[in-house]
Amino acid sequence: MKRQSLWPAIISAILAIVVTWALYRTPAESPLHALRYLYFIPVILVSFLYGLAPGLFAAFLVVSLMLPHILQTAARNFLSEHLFSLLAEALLLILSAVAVDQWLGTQRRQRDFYKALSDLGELLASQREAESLLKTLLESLFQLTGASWGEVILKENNSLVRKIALGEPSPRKPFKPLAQPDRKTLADMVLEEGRTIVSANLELDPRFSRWADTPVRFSSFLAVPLRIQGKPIGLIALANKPEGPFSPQDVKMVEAVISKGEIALENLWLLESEKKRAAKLAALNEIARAVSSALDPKLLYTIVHREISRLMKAENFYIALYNPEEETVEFVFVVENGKVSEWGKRKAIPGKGLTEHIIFTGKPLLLSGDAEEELKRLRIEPIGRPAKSWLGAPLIVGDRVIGVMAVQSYDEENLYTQEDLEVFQNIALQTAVALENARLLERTDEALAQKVKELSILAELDREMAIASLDLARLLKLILDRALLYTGADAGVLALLEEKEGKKGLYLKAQVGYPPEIEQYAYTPYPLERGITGRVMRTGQAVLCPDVKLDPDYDPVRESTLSQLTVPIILEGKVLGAITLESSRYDAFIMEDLAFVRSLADRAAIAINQAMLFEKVRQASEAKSAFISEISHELRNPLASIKGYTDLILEGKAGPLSERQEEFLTKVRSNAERMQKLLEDLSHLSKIEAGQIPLNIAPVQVKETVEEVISMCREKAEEKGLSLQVEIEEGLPPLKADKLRFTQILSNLLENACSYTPQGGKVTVKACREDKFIKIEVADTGIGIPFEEQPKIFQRFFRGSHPMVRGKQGTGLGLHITKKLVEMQGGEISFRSVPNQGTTFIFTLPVWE
Amino acid sequence: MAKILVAEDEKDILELVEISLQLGGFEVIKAMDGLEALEKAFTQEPDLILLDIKMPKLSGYEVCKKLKESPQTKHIPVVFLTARGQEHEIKAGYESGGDDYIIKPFAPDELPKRVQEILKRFKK
Repeated sequence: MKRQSLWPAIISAILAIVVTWALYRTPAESPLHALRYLYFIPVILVSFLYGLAPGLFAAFLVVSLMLPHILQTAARNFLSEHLFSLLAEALLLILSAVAVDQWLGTQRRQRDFYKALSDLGELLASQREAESLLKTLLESLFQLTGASWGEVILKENNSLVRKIALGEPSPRKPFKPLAQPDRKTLADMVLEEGRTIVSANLELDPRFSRWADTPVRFSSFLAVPLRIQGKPIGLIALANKPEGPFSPQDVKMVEAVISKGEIALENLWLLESEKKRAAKLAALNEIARAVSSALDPKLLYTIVHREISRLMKAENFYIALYNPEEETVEFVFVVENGKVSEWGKRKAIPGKGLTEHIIFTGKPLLLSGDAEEELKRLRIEPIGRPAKSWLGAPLIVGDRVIGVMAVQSYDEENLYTQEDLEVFQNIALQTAVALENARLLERTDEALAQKVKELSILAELDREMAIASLDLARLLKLILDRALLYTGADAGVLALLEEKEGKKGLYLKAQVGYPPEIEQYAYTPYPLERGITGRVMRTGQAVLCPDVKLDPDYDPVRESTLSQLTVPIILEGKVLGAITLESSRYDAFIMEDLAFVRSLADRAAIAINQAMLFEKVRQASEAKSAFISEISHELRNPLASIKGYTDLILEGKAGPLSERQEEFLTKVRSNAERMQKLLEDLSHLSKIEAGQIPLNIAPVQVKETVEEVISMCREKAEEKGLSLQVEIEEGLPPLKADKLRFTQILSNLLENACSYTPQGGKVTVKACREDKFIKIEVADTGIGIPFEEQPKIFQRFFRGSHPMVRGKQGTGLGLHITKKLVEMQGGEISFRSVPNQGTTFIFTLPVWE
Repeated sequence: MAKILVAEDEKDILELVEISLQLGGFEVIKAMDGLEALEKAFTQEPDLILLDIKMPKLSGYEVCKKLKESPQTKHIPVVFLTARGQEHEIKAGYESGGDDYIIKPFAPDELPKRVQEILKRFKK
């Protein structure tokens, strides 16, 4: 602050006295004498120069007006005894001028100070960062007080942090107050008592311990608390003013400046916290959005990291997932120095690693200040490169910790605050939900894929097995159940377009969650003109109705329904039926549901198609079988007549026959017999194929049955000179078979073996257990089967080319029927044959358990 | 000489059966349908009845049922003529009260032998 010199005032005062005195000395008639009253001009000049207040000016003027009188008296009696009093008057004038000047100086200084203060306020308010603001503040205080050393200390997470320090030698970054036992530190006193502390010489002051671990020796010292909204947030210390101790005026000024600084700082922080809150909200919003959309986890990690980076330093970030079964942590997303990295997986051991600490405690952790000390206190053995700042939060779903999310810094201390921790924890919660959603979705997807696969396998299976019935009803119920499971609908119905007894409409095939009255639609059709379902049937367009009240077509079958999804079942452009799902919530179905139900509807269409085809085939097969059965029956009687009368004639019951007649009639008879056999086999086969052969499955004793069959063939075999042998393993369990059919299989094979084995040959029947089956072999030493004919022997109407085969009557159906009979009972049949050496047929049938 | 009632709608077969049985030394009463068979069973009291299954007016099963319901005819053995491979016919025959069955077609010299056997069994 500039001080105006007193000299002009003193000089002008002396000048005024001298000039006035000189003017008074001039003779009264001299024109100069008239100017003697102008003496006050320099006084006015001085007043102007110093900007005198009007009152003071008046007082000064009065004193000055008395002056001519004094001077006049002095002049009259010059230079007598009055000189002394004149000089005294002059001195008084000078002194009053000095006093006025002093007073004026204070006034000006104060005004200048307030102006400077307001300028400083503006300057501080224009700062955009707390750090630069505090620096400006400290610099202003230096200028104002002349202090040569100072620092700003702020409270952060219950510790004091040196934010700014000015002056030589400059202190190190961490602020360590020097505490003495049973004594508060100076900084604590300032903060707790909230008052300014001044010391003329801190080093010698018995009231205080030393300030801090600082390489500075303090003389004059001043510490002022820094408050925001009345709460101390830190302090400013100034020291070593060269002129000596800080005066009370200094203290007042410093406090005034600091209060300006406090306002600016508060505004700045408000702005910053506002900004931070906005960023926080934006980040949380972004993550919440990511949560609600079906995301793959990798994308989610990236979004979470991006959003966290907006809020805090996150150049080192990771997400680790905990697997409680394997007791491992897997680092699924790692960013190191801003680049994506890989850390893999490790065994989770309690007490080792910060990540594990979070997993096992389920609590967030903030490491600031002395991270090493903190780790020791928590008894955590760190893994990998130690971090100077670390912030981690658990990923919690329900009451399970599914993983950990953390940010850290390897070189910066005190990077994260309690506030960061709160935000981070919040984001971790959101992330955990998102991860869980993604996981559930994945699992649901997998489960559904599995179920759909099951369904298609089922359909495939049923299709391939053209036996019995393809259970369409069960399949449709299954499809409906899947639709409900996936969409979370409260009720669902699957109906198909059919015409029964002249009534065309939607017939209910499966339903879940409706009142029992709906079952009527299984018998009387639901009209196509009615409801949203009717419209879907007519248009072939699926309808997703978020609020059924809004759809004029809606037909309330179920009371509490609020939203509905109806998907048509379409096959090759034809609408076969519809799946309708209903929910007691508004807007319960989404597009994904529609897509999924559509794919189920496609499956239903395929299944229905299969069932219809199967039904047609079954009907055709039944018709064929009935026809064959009819035909063979009709042909049987005339054939019986032919054969019967031929027999009578051949027996000579119609008179003697010539040799030639007998020969011809024998041919007639043998062909009639062949035809009879053919008819029998055909009728039998058609029954097998139509599934009309009822199986009477029961335990069948192998040895007993084989011997029965053998005994029937024995006579014939012995006539031919064949030896029949039986080799049956001891203690065979019974077969799970129809005894009649088993006998039929065995006798067919035995008959063939005997027929195609020349005289002196051998036929062997063997049986042994093979796991859950019994293997039966019928081996002969016969003519064998030519290799080129081997692939065809189970075909219908196939007959071998060997003369011995041609020479015998046969229909070419025997082996075909035998194979069918084996397969019907759950067995398999095969053979091996070498021409002219023999043939072995091997078949299996399951063991009775 | 035992009297055998043969019911068979197929004329050729009926005659074949008649010839076979006569050659075997039986007296044969012929019926061409179920009703005729029933009537002749009551009026002529045969020693054994051979019944075809598929016949006009009354089927073999129905004839058999009626015969077995009447005290006058229930002692007469009823034998069904069934076709090979039609096992259900045998079962249905027994259910309607039949006493035995002979599978068609049969050799002419076999038939009288079978009939003789059944008669012998029933006399016991």
